[in-house]
Amino acid sequence: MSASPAAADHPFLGAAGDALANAGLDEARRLGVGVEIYLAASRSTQVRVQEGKVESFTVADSRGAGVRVFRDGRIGVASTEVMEPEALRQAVAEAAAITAWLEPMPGQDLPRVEGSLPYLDLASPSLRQVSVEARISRVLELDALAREADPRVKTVVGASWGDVAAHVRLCSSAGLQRSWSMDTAWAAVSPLVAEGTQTKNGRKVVAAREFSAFVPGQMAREAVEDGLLQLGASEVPSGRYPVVFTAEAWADMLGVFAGLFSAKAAEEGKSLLRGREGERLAASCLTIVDDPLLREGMAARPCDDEGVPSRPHDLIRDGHLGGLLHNVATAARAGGRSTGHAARASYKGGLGVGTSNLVVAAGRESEAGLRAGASVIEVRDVTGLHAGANAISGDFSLQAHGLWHREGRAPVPVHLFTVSGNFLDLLAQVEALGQQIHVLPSGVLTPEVRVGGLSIAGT
Amino acid sequence: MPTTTTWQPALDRQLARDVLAEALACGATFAELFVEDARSRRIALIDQRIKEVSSSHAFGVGLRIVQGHRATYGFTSDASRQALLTLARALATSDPGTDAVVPAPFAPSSLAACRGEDWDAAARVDLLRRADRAARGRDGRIAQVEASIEENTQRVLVANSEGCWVTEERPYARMFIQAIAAEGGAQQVASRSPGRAEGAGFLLGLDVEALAEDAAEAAATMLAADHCPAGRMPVIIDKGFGGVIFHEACGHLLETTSVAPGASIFAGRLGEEIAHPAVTAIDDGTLAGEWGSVGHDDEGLPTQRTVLIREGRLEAYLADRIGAERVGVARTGSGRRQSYRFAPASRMRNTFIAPGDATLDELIAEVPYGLYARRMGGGSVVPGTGDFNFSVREAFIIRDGRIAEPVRGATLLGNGADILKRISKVGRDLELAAGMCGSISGSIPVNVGQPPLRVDEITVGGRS
Repeated sequence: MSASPAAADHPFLGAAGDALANAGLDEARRLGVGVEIYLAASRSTQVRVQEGKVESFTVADSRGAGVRVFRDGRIGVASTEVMEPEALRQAVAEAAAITAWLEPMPGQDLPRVEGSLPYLDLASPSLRQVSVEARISRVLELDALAREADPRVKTVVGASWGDVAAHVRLCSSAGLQRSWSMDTAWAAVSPLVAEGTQTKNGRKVVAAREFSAFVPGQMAREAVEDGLLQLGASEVPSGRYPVVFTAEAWADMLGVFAGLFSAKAAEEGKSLLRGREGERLAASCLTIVDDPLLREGMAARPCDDEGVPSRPHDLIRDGHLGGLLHNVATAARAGGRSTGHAARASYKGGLGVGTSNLVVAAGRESEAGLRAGASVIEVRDVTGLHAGANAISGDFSLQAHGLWHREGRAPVPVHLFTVSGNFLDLLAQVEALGQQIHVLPSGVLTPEVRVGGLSIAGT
Repeated sequence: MPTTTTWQPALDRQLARDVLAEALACGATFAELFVEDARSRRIALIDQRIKEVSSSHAFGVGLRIVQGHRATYGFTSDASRQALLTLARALATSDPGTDAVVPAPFAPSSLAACRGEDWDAAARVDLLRRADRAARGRDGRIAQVEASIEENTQRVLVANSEGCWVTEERPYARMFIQAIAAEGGAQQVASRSPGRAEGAGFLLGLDVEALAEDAAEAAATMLAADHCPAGRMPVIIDKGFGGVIFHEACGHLLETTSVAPGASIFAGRLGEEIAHPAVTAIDDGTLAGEWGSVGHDDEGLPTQRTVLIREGRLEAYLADRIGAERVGVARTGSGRRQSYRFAPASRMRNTFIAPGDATLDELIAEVPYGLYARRMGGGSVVPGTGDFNFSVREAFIIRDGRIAEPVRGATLLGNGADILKRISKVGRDLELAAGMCGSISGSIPVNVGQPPLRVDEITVGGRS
């Protein structure tokens, strides 16, 4: 158990949680199968403001239990949102029945997880103590400041707040008992700015565990600035350009292709990185570490979803591909140990492999230096990631907007162009990285990145 | 496997009435309960093995309280009297209005529930194996096949302070087949994923061999494809999933969610000519068994067929309760949500462009040089500006009125208002295609659709 100050608030650490867990464990014992029980609860509030008024306010109390039943190399999966001992018994019985239809796979025995959890306190009592009224007034302030920031702001499409306090208890018939809690909050503002016939959307999103991280004035200013920078955008001539990705755009790219580092994807023939561990794939200046222990990253966690203690893992070190990411089953099949990257989307469904915080090592270049050159495209935002990026082939072709930097001239905004290539080429062509690390809401920590030559299709 | 039985909502009318009354006690004008009990199953094959079978049971109650145009929403999986009354008090508006509204008596109505069915795993295993064999048999370069079946039965109750008491049972079934072709370090993927709002009979009647072979052939074809050339050109977008262009570039902008705050380029333009006269577009929730159909929407209103654009002229928006009030239009039975975890919002159902006269061959024959988008991928649109981007999964160059070489990595870039005027010719063969649409009220089943059609000029993104 992690000694978290939030333990007192944990809904499953107490008689009610014990009753649920024991009902599932007892049923598994009765059926002669192994079981892993994942109890999850979260409380969240969300506020959306439009035109100075609270448009919606949501209070959510979400609970569910997922069970994985292990029988002879088969794993049956069931979940329920009815948090009663009888429902847990039924879920275990159903998951056990399901195993009859599965084919056995090596490595699919009930995990025997060892080791104690690292100290990583992700709970934020201070955040929980902020009153609902204070959260609402901060969004109202964000909306108002964005509208007043510049006469070219037409409206604010959305100013919003969300917070979630999440709790998990994980136990198994192999004696595993783990629990953890985490708090996260985020705020976003998206002003619509207009000049002449052009309308552009600015955006700023902040995620943090402390209320003090949300500074409405600064967020509003940055969001409006992001929109204004796009006004007057023209199209850019097609060709190959050196490209600088802002931290936001680079984080989006990494997010889409992070699945390539999964040993499960590799096993299933869905990763270009299969069998290439240790090879030099990327530019030597590039190092990317998966680090679940960085508290400032929003994807931090003390252990993975099988309870394996978290530790940092090299994905790419000085250009060389590190090991792929494993859960207990994929590691067993590959003859190794879990790297602690078991991931489940929620208590529902099966268990896969997932990244935590993706940390790109800083380089030596200033952000101005990255943009220097005869003709450089700065990509500030890529859209249509689920459409234009294929995580299996590695190909991407994404609509983007940004700035066009030319030596001796002021940068001009450019839009409606596509930046395309392949993820592996992208990694190989990294030329330089900025000195400053930006912390993104998605759990990516990265500097700005300059890539040698990418195809830009504009006019 | 357990069988489903006729559903009794886990909430009696007296409790529903008491919760609604509590919700209104502080002066709100409207309150609504949404109770959901959903069971789903998934079975998946990969690497020629049945690798996943899972079952899930979702249950919860959502409560919405409306005061003017402001909504508060909350949900819980605990349907006890105490939990629901606590939720109602937490959400009730803190600035009391005038007199409390008294909930009206309930007037029950329900859609005939579909019969519960045994879940026969063996029949589904057989479908998955047939898909795997057919895909691998079609082309030796197929390196991986993933096939899965998802079935879901969603049972809902909508009860509100105006006396609505609607229960409905909604079955869904969908099959997903993905083939990966590999050659010389390159990989290409293609998939087929038909779905209908009906029971397992639909799955068992599928021609899985044809679907699997089609996916395999498409993936293998794309292996040989070179990068798509970029530029502005005419594009023929084929039937079925091609309708995603209308869905993304126009459909979302006709939802009152984006019209009401003035965030849509189509706001305030009812009656105006916004599209080429060749374009008539419809959003229809009444089509029996179609993936995006419902009996009632998730606000308890019977679903409708809504003509959005008639011969180029804008006729209607898609309106939910609050959106209708904000924009000043009638509700269209379009209030939808993924689950009890979401407040409803104006959403699409089965959205399509109505058929015209031309055949696909005729459309292609008229293009000296352009792109034939045989199968579209997903896409996205910026609500404020209407700028969109979507991928073409299977694309070919058209030369001298004939389909020529395949190309990969093509995307279509444009603007919703602009492209509607450039759809100059619509074919006769309408087809709908199932998809999941994600938006403010979650991810919901919708059909997109269209006949093949011609866009006179659009920016094709690729590699120059």
